[in-house]
Amino acid sequence: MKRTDFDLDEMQRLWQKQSRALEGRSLISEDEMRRAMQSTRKAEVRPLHLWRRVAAVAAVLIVAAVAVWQWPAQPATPQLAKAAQGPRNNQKTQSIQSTQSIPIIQNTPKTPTLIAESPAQKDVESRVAAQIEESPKFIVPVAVAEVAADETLLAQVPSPRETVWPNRQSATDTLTVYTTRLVQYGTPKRKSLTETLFEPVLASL
Amino acid sequence: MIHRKTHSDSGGQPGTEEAFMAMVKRNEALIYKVCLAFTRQRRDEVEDLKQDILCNLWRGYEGFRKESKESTWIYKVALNTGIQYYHRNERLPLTEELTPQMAERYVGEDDSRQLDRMYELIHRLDDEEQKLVYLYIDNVSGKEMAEVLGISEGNVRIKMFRVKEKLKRMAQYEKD
Repeated sequence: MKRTDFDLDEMQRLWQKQSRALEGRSLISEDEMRRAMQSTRKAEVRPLHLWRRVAAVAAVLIVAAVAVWQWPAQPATPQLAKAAQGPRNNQKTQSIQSTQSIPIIQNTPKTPTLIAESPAQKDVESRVAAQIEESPKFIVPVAVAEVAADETLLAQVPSPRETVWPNRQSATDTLTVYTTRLVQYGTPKRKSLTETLFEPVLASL
Repeated sequence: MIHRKTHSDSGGQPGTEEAFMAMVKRNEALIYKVCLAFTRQRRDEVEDLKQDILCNLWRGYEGFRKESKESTWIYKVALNTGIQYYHRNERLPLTEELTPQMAERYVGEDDSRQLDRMYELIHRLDDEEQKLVYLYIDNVSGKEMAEVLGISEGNVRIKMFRVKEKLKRMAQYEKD
């Protein structure tokens, strides 16, 4: 290659001058070389740490898989989940009759897990369910249930009223809707409603 | 019978380490020039890049089968490491007052500044063109340049012609 270009020639001249000046000098010490070799060895240890990380991730995945596998074994109540997520205000003022389209678990009228939201409420529900089971007339306070759907009317109810339901399924369905409404109010209000409404209902049964 | 551990701290055979160090010693000027070129001659950066290049050389030393010339392989590793280093640090501000030009010690102040301008110009080229220019100004043969860059000798000539033209235009633009 013929090197005639002025700029490159100049660059080459300077570079060669520098090269000559560097000749015979100690530019890289033995220490520097050893340090580089040692640091490279440390860097090569990293894959072991990587394997540890992989093992940790695998363990987490196994735990997650077991949790998913176990999931169906837990009580699932679709209507409760739906109620917990759904909008509140636009349903508050509806009557019990208009909300009976909410999906209800069929053939499980006595299952206490329908309202298993808090220990107190669960206890009340169990007792109500037991009363319904034992009661010949399936008495459920429908008026109270209606009022519970609209908390603004709560104060207007002096005491639980009673009505006679045609059958156990009808009574339980109403109770389920009632419970769904309570869930929609949120925890503090639910507690208050439980104390205000369920307890008198129990007393009246 | 007690077997003594023959591996040193650096993880290689003692013989391998000695051979590696001897190889580096034979080519230390080459490595050092690459360090000066890609660090804009800043002392602390020169030390950093020198370590990077040594690490990469040691890492690749076992795989170096000596099918090519020693200097060809070292050029390849050093230039690639230098370019990576430059890209990593090109946006960092320079502390020129605190770090005098390294080459001043070897070629005098004027030439050192001239070299700095030259490096600046070269670093505006793309990566392959930079490698080409450094090999060219270091009087590396066309065949070795082709080996370092992984292209044919004919291709080296064509690319070199284009790079010269490009540098000319850049230098002219600088003057204007």
